[in-house]
Amino acid sequence: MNISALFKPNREATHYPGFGAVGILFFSFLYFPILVIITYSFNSNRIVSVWQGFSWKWYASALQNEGLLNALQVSFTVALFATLIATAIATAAALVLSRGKNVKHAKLSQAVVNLPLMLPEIVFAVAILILFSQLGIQNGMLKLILAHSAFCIPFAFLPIRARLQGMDNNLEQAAQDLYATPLVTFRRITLPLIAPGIFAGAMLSFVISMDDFITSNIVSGGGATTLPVYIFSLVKQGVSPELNAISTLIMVASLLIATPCWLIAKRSR
Amino acid sequence: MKHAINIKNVSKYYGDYRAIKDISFDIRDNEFFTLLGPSGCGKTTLLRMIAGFEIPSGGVIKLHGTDIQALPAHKRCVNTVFQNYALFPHMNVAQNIGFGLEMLKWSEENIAARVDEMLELVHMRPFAARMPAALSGGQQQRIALARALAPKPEVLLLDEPLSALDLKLRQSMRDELQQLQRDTGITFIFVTHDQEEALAMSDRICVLAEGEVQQLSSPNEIYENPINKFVADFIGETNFMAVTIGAVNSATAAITNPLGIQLNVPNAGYRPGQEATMSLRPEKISINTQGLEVNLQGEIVHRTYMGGYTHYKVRTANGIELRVSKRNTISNDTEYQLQQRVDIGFSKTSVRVLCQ
Repeated sequence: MNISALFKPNREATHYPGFGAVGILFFSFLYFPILVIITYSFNSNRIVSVWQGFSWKWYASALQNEGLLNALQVSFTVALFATLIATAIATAAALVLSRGKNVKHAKLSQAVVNLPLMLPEIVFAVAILILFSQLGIQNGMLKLILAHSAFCIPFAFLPIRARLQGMDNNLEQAAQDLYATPLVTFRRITLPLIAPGIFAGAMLSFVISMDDFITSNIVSGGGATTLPVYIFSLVKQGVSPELNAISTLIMVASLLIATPCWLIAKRSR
Repeated sequence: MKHAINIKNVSKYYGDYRAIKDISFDIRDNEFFTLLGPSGCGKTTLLRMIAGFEIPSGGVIKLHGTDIQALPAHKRCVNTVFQNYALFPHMNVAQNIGFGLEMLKWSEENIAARVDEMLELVHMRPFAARMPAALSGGQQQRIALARALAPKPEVLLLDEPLSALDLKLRQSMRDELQQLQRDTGITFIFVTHDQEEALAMSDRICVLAEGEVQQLSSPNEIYENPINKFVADFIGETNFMAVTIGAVNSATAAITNPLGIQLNVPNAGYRPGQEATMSLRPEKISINTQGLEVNLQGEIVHRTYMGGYTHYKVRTANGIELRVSKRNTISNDTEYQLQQRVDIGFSKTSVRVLCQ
């Protein structure tokens, strides 16, 4: 190796010895388990870890599993409503905190909005369980939607607020200067410009809600089981090849949703 | 004379801080009016109060005789050119210019015609379909101007619109702004901290400092007859000397000065023994020129060649350093060397005595 190359001021990480090996190791660690799951989802053997031959049968059985489809529907519904509610609240909060004049305790308010991010989720889940029982809310779906809306707010809030802060607030003044009422200013100027932030916040909320286990597990009951809770119940009965197929399907679905979102976000930047 | 804006006893507090201290003045119709002052003098606050973005803590602002206090920004017939232009990034040039007209519910044909007219006015017709991000600073500036002028405002407010441009562009935009003001006949209120800009463009200048009007006058009057030390210092370069008022009669006052010259100025209510400041502009002092009222001996101690001008520092016999600015009217004219002994002279009428 040429020693003088080491003295070059612009020494990139890729020039260090062993960079490639470490990289490969890292990505293997990250993705190998996932590869195994995908591979074995096509295994025709009942025993998960012994390869027998290629088969689609676990996909067929997964797609006919009523409990699974039901859980998927619950998760989707909950995520949809929680996303709508959380994004609406988060947008309002972000607007007040970054545009409002003379907002009292603005810093404290922002900390409170973001607090659920720092709080252990189990604490939040138990607290909300107690709250629901105090209020006498029985409907499982309603409980899930309310709980998910609550913990999704900070996830929706962060990208929206970042977008608002990056936006020149002279633009809103310029619109009002040009005879736009506050409402029209919001619709024609603010909203289109923070739309990518709102979109990102909504996507994040949706994913967080779909993925949530702890709160859903504690709050569920009353006839509504979300997908992660259902999968966990399957795992408790032992790992079945059907589970591999379900996991693979969820992964494909996530990628199908995430890719266009990512592309849109990239284009709007 | 008709007034575009009346400002009467206007003040503005931010908490305990008084940004504007009981200001009153009028802005005439169709004039190019400049609010000039250092940062923090309250000029932008005043502009924002006229635009409706700030509410005065006290006083009245009238637009063509109507009190506009109760009107929110979107109901005031004034438009603003913002310092950073504030063009809507998600709209193209034509949409930006047409925005105000759209808000005023103009018909589509009328908007199209007016946008076209505005593009012509600022020489930007080929750029109608461009997005603001694809324009240079000077081009964005023109679109911001066109956008603000399109709805035919009663008054156009300009908040340091040239400060983000480079020097050459700034100078050519000055001429364009002035021309635009004459062509449109709209009252321009221009905010700047750049005294050259103010002198070059304005019909009248209002010099502000610490929330108070220091002087309101024509550029010539402001430069030649500054009312106090602040104005003399802020506008242009000058030599200051501490002086004392000597013998006073009804017509003239003798000024005891460190240059040791006999100096009598018209008595403007001076009291004997009063402390004052004498101001003498560098370009009013000549080097080695015959026939001037006051003549002094000195030595060149510093020289800065500026192309069109050369700035010298001359130390007089009694140790006073005077800045002298000499126009280089003849090619390869004599350059005075450091340590060279020279005669300097000036006319007594060039001296200003300032009491505040």
